[in-house]
Amino acid sequence: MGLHTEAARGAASDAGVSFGDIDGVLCGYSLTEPHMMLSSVLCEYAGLHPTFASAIQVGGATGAIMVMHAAALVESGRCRHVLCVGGDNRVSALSKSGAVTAIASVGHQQFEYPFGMSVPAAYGLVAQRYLHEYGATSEQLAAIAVTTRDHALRHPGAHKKERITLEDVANSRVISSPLRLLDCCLISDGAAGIIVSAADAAADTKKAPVEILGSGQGHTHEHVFAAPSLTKFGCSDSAPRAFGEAGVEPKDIDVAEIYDSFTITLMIELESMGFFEKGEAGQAALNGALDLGGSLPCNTHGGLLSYGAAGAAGGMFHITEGVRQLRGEADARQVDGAKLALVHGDGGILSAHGTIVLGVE
Amino acid sequence: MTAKPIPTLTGDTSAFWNACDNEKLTYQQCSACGAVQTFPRARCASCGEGALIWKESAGTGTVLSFTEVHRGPSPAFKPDQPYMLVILDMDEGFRLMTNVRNCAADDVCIDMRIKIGFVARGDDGRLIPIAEPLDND
Repeated sequence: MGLHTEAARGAASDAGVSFGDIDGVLCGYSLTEPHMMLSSVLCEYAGLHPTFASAIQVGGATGAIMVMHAAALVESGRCRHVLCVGGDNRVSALSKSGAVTAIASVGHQQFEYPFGMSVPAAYGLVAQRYLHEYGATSEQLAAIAVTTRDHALRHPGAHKKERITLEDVANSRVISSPLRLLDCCLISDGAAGIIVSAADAAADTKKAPVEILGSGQGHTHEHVFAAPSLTKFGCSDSAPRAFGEAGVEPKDIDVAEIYDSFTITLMIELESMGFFEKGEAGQAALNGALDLGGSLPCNTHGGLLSYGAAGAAGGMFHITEGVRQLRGEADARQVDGAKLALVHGDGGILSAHGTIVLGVE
Repeated sequence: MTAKPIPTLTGDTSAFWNACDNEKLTYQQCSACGAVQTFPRARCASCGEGALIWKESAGTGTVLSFTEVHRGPSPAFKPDQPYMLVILDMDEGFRLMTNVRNCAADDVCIDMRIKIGFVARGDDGRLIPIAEPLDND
């Protein structure tokens, strides 16, 4: 809860909102501090006294879906300022192998886990089928890892600070074929906080607001063996809903911050959300499309692959980065003139999806 | 060394696992709408009716996807690493996740035909499904 509180304080200070002004608190799940009343635990620890509080757990989609909940709370008039917090100290509290075991519990206890399904193995199954159907290659997956690392090198807070090449990815050890170590996200300690305010309440805050223009969700399954398809997922539903609500199209987006638990995750989501044709995102990454000067700068903070993956906070970093880009606060990694950002989170094995379109005047 | 996980039976699934103990692979079909369920439930997930009947599978199917796992979810799987994990499209229309035996890793491929056998797991020797190439006979 220490990490959660630091993130909550940081978000409040950034927004120029006092803890007393926060009347809604939403908090993500924690593997290192599991509790049936985590939002109450957080409020007690941090000294928060909201009029509405709840915990939300949708795996990696938790951040995006928390922000959607918060938006609904302020739109309804129930709350003025809703604090969303997520975090986990997975490395220091669980160890890396402990974290791998803990997240494998996303698998079905009877029909997946007895056969040795880890989360990387589940994504390996998805990757094998996706590459088979659309002809994408391991080198194209590697291009996503390399591009993402290049972005992280421009962020002083990133977990990973060493440049990598396509050869480094190809030579990294196999985790679950076709995925290699550098195709997989990190395991990090971290937390993130976001404040969602009512439109009129936002006028009282310190910084120019970033507006939630549209959002959408998509849910197809929880367990990968029960997924209706290994190549079409809920991002195919969540993105059109978000774009439709915002009244924009994929080509209008200036910067995208999209969940990248594995290189294959980002490849599928980029293609399913309409940024690239099926089978073309990997080649586009090889050609530099996802770079800072490319057609769609993507995961400019370095994503889960290179910035950090700390439980529910991992997907929230995509949102905080999207906000920083739209505020022009992204320093060396700033996308010039960014006005429209897409942020996306997914939980499980591409099971639950939340897409949000953010914009500034 | 922790042991490999054993399925914990529930009211929904005990019939499935008890059939496995008799080397029979079973699945649920809805007698109202005809839908085949991928895992046992109390009601049909397609139409919501509770009129599910148990059927015995021929035990044959096709590899939908596969992965060779080099880093398992817990130390219990370390002696097996690398091992093959597959999702199967069974001929009756349900899916199954399992491992593969009697087949070199390089020979496992998408669309490969398989049949289901059973292996013992845990102190009580509960039988769980495992796939092997159909043309081994």
